Amino acid sequence: MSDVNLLTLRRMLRLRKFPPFEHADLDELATIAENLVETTLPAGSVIATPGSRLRSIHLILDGRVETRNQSWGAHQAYGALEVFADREVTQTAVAATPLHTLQLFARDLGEVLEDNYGVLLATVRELAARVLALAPPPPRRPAIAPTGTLGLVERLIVLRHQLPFASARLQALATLAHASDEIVLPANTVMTRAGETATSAFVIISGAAASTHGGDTELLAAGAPIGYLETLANLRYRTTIETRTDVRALRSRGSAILDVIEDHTDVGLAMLATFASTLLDRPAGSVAGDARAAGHARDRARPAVAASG
Amino acid sequence: MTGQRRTVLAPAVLLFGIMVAHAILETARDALFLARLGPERLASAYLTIAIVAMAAVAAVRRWGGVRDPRRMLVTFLVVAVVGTSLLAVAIPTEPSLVFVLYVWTGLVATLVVPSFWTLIDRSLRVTEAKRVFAAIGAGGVLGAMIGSALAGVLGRVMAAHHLVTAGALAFGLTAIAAMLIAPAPQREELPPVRKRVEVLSQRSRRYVRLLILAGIVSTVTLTLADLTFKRVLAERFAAGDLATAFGAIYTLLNFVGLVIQLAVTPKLLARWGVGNTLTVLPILLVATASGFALTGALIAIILLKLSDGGLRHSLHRVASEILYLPVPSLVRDGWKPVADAISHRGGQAIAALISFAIVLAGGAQLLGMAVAVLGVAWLIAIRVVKRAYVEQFRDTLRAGEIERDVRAPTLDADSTALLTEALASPDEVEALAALELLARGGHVPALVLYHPRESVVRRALTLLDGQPRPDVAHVLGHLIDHSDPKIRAAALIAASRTGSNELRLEAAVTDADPDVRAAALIGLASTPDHEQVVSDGVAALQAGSSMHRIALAHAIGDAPHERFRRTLYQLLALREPAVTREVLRALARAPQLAHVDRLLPLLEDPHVRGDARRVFTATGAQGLDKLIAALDDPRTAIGVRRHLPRTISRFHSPIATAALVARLPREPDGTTEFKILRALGRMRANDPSLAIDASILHDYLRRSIADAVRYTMFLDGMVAAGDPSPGAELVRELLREKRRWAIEHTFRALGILHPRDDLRSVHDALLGGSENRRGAALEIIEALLPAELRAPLFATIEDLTPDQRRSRLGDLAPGPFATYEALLAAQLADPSESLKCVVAHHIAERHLVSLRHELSRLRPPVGPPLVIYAFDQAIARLDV
Repeated sequence: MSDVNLLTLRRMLRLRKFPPFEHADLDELATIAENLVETTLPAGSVIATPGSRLRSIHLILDGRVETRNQSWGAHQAYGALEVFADREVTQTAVAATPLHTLQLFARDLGEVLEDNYGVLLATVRELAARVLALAPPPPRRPAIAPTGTLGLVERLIVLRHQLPFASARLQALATLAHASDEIVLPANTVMTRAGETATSAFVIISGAAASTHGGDTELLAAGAPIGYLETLANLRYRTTIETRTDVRALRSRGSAILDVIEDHTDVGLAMLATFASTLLDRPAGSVAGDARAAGHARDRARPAVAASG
Repeated sequence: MTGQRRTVLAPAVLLFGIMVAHAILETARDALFLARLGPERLASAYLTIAIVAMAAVAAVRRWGGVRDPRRMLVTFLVVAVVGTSLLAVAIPTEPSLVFVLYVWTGLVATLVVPSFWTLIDRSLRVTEAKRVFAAIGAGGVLGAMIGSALAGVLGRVMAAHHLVTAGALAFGLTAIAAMLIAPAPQREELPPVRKRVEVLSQRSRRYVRLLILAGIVSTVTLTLADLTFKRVLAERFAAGDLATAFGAIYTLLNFVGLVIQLAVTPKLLARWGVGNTLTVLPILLVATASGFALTGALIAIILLKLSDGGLRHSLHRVASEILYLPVPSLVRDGWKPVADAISHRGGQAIAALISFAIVLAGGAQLLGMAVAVLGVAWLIAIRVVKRAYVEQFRDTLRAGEIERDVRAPTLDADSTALLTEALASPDEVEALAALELLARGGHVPALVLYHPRESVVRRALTLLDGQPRPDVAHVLGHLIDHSDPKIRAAALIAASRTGSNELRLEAAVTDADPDVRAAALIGLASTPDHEQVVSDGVAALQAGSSMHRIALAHAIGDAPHERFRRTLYQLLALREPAVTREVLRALARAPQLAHVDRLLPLLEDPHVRGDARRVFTATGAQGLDKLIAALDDPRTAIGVRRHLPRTISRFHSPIATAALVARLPREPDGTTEFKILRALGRMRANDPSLAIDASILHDYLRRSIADAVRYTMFLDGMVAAGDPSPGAELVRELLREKRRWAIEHTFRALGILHPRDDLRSVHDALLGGSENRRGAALEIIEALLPAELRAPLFATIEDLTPDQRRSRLGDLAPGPFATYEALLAAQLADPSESLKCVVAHHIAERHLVSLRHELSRLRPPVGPPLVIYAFDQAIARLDV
């Protein structure tokens, strides 16, 4: 066996320790390993300066990267959000210790994820879980006037108003729109139950529902999304949602959403960009440990069954 | 001056100057040489030129460096001015310097002309080059023509040696022009860090060596042809008339060359491509040289020279220069002068040696025969170069791509040692990863069962399939008492395969843990004495919680048996994903238990789809037949149908391929059609020898290109209409996507037809932002697609005005549409359901009542409810 293959094997063993590659197929892992560049930097090296764009994501093998208020250690990725969102770096990042990383170049990222659906899905799930761990964003305005049955175009508009599909292409959304169904639920129907595996996502078209979590209750009106992030992150519903009036909603099954991501990888990539932007725009107070919080949320909420490709 | 003009004009002027100077000098040297030394010493002169030129190029490479081709050109021109001026002064006093003049002229041409083209290669991309090389080359041909004419006129009024002074003067003016207007070289777009860049450089060097070889063959042929011509001419003209005669003949030839350069070369390059264009000159040479060799007719040698003179510096030179464009500048800048020197001067030297031998053996007709034979060899060389040329572009694209479809490395002693070491790691993740890799190679060592991490031991046990090896069986004995119930259960199942632990199994039937209980029950199933115990125990587990059922299904999966077929399907009927996965795992291990009809609906569920696919694959022909029948059955649910192509593709068989190809043109569902394309692409990429019906794919290709054309024209119409309404914007956005989609379909179909050509990279390069990569992609497509398909495809991709596009597409373009309503009506009739719906919505949004009739007429009577609803909704809105 050549040294090149031994190098690939060594990298594969190390990559397994990064969450998106934890369950990656071996060939996918080998593909990722082959497309990385190994880098060592002395302590004090400046990795990024404010206003610059990162050329690569650093998968940290050993050492630590620090910015003013955040740090990344072994088996964490520095720069992933900025690269996914195609954003400039806002803080100087330095190697706090001697640093050993595997670099995945930004220009290769899209192709690598496009070609390795398992890794793409794992990354989407990881970021969806992190977004879910944040305080929920303010509800978006109702996408359409709640009258009459939704046609394809209205469904497209409704879906585009949901965070995961904000930048999705029409073709992909049309497939999802066809696979979704418009349902009418009478008052006092449970739409989701906290702790149950999220298998479907909804958007309320008309009517009202109540979301209960712990002792808190929140009213959901037309335009409110339900369970998109949980479904994408393959988690359990966080809240119990019950209709207060007759509710008309557009339901998309998790299986249909996964099919769309598999057939239109651009949807998955667009989701990553949107989620990464959301995470980068989060309030300063929520910066530290959001990945940890998401990890805890995952541990608590991970259902027993994952998708099998 | 516009950018386009500057791109052409500045290089054309420079080449004009170079060729004027060279033509004057060439006329002077030929006249002086033939008059004073005679044609018999021409061969010696060629040999000397070859030696001197190659020594000079080697010296330049060694000491001069080739970092800036612009500076190199200017330097060589200045050297040409100085050297020629010295010779102009010295020749009248020392006639023997005529030989030096001959060699000097050749040396200058060897250094100046290639450095000019190296600079131009660096300042243009291949798409531009094919467009403007002919015009730049025309500057050279015009220069040669004017230079020859000037030399002819001057030859009448002054002695031949004064022409050398004129040549030096012309070089001087050109050197000044080069300092002022020579273009700056561009930077290459190759990525900075990429393993394939090094591979590309290695392959490029091989390619350049091939070009040198082909260049030598062509030069030998052309030089012998030239020698034949000059020999005949020297026999027919008096020595004193030679300068005028050469001047007149070269003027005529250059005029022919200019006409060809301007009128023929661009068209031939566009229509025939570089490879085929290159064959024109050798074909003509073979024909005319054969004619002269056989008949000795003067007309044949005149036609030979006409072909040579008319095509060598126009068609042949331009096409030959384009051959260097796929070579990265890193390699090209250093190698091109060498390649030119070796192929040109080396070829001349070889030709000289051949001519020595031929002249000794016979006369000009024998030389003609040699030209014909070498012409055939040249044609063969072109055929090889043509393939390598396209391959170079492929390599260029690959150099900028990620490594795709990498397989986990196969294991040998070194890698097994590495992984075994990792397996011993206390780090659970690393140990599990090593275990997986070892298991794939069938190398799970028994000692892993002593691993301190339970998860590692559990995983190892699940990977130990079938009859345990003796070393594993020995270790399993120790694990039956393990504290972890899952390990205990796995050990029981594994041990039951050896048939030597019945007492332990009986004891475990009452274990508190369902996994252990299930394992014990399944382990005892093969012994008739325990039938009742097993039946009761299995029924109890079935009736228990999903944890119990998972344990039962898992245990059956570890030791599948006919007896449990009914149990498995009862578990399946409960539709619990975790249980279903365990059942499917059991069926994959025992495909004889699988009932493919009942498995088909499971393909719809992403949680178990992969497992269901494994079962289908395990069932072999029975499963494949069922899948093919389901794909052809219109009653198959759409959610299942869409996952059939990939499932079928797992069979990697000619039957599977044929079924998918046959279905492709008939598949009504767009998503399934796309999945068929993807499945076929994957199958052929993995095994290009899998036979396919190419005619079906060619038809499909035509259809996809027609789709791309139609959506592009619709989009042009919508953009031109400039409707600012949200609906119109939605239509435009969808049309952009549909065009892109149709182009992707085209490339996927092409990829199935040409699985080794990496059409995915070509597609990405064509639609990407890099001009270099786009140029490379166009060249590859040119080699794969016939002109009648290529032209419309390029018309949809290129940035053209709607009128330009329509004129390029001709009858293939739909329309023109007299009104906006006509344009919308055409889209309403399109096969795309999404487009119909969005356009219907837009018609209602704009309240275009004139289209109500079209909406009623085109409303589909049957089909997806959303589409029918879109028409009904639009009609209703118009009626309000």
